[in-house]
Amino acid sequence: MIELKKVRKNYGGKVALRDVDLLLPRGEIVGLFGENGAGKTTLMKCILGFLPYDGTITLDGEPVTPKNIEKISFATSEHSFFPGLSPKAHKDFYAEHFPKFSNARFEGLMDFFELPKNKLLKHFSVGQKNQFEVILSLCQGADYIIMDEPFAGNDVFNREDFYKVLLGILEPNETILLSTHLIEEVSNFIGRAVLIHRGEIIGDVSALDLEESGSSLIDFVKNTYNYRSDRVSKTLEALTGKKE
Amino acid sequence: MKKYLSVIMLSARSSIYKVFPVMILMIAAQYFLFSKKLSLASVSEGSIAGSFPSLEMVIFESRIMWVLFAAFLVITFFLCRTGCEFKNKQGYTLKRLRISEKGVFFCQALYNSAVYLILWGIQIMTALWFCHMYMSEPVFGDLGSQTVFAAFYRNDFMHSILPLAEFGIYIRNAVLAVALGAASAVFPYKQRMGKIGFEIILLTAACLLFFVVEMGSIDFTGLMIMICLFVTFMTVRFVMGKEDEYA
Repeated sequence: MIELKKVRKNYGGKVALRDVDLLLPRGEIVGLFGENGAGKTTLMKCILGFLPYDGTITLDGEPVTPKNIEKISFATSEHSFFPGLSPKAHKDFYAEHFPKFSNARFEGLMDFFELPKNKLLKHFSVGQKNQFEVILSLCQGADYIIMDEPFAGNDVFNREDFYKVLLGILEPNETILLSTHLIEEVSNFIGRAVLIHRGEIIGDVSALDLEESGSSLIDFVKNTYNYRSDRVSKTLEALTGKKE
Repeated sequence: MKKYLSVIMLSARSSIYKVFPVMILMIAAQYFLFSKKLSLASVSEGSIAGSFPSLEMVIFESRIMWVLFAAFLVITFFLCRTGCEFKNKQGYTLKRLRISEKGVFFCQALYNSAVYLILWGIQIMTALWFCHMYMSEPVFGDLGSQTVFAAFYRNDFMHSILPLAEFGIYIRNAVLAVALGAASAVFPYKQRMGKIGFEIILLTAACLLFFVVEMGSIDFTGLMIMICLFVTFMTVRFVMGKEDEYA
């Protein structure tokens, strides 16, 4: 499991993460939700060791180092692949550096998304680049797959198909931490929702608990954030003078 | 070992399709300039006046040196660009490899040095080919092998690429290839950290100023070796001093 204890991160004087405690056991699909600037990406980068931080993050009881980093994969809308290389070249490269790299999954997903294997990545569309980024993260053979807004730029049909494929191919020991704004879209596919606001975890609920309480994920998110449903009508009323 | 080789291949795959066409273009441009000058020399000067320009003069006037410098600048640009982050964050992947980012730097430096050595080698081969072309020109009569030998001593550019018995320049060129490899590899390494790799700028300027030297210019050869060693030392010191981000 990945365990975060009292993780704190500051950018200059600004607090980005405030004493975050979080447990990510194996085999869960966890949604990480929060407004822009809430600390989702910073949290993920701290887990990956890309940013220095205060506190402790352990991966199966050990600190995250180059020795065990291969257990974590990362898909980001910023794109972490090499633009001057083709997918086939990426496959060869990843297979060399990640011993558990799954060729079968790579080929299957490349066919599913109908991506060209010998075209340079820099010539792909944004949607294709996102798809390829996700493919790499799923094929690395990692136990923990971290995804930061991976579907930004993909159409809804593409995303829905992808969720189905993802649920079908995931092994029981694979964990996904998925950061997205598409709360309703992923609500049927995640097993747990973690809410972050101004660098603090303000909500953590399992899909089972939500189901038992008869509440939807979007309601849980709105309640946790104290979302005021009348704020739109009030603003319109103030701006136009008309009562909605 | 294979994982280091795969990182070298990563650099090669990202740049080889740009670097080799530049080298081929360089040869083509030099051939065009040299053959044009050679034909002019053989027609106008050789046959009419009865005297013809020397090999070193044809090489000097064909300006092939400037073509080499242009190719060098373009290749340096492509090598420095390899590994830089513009619209993506490939550094995230480099940080997750089984070898450290420092290891990635050394692999890239090795590959880049090899590219500069190949460029040097190609320039020597091309220059020898031009010598052969000159020697084969019937209008110049029966020339001895001393003509080529003398050209590599009398022409500063020729002497700088193939210095014959002046071993100091061989050492300088080898050290220069290593320094250029390191400086062009640290450029993307620094760029990913939001810094500017000034080393390659310093070294490129030094190359343009001091690469072509007269025979026996120990002071300029020594100065160039000192600059190369300084740049290599600064580069390696920076990379080795950089802590990995794993907290």
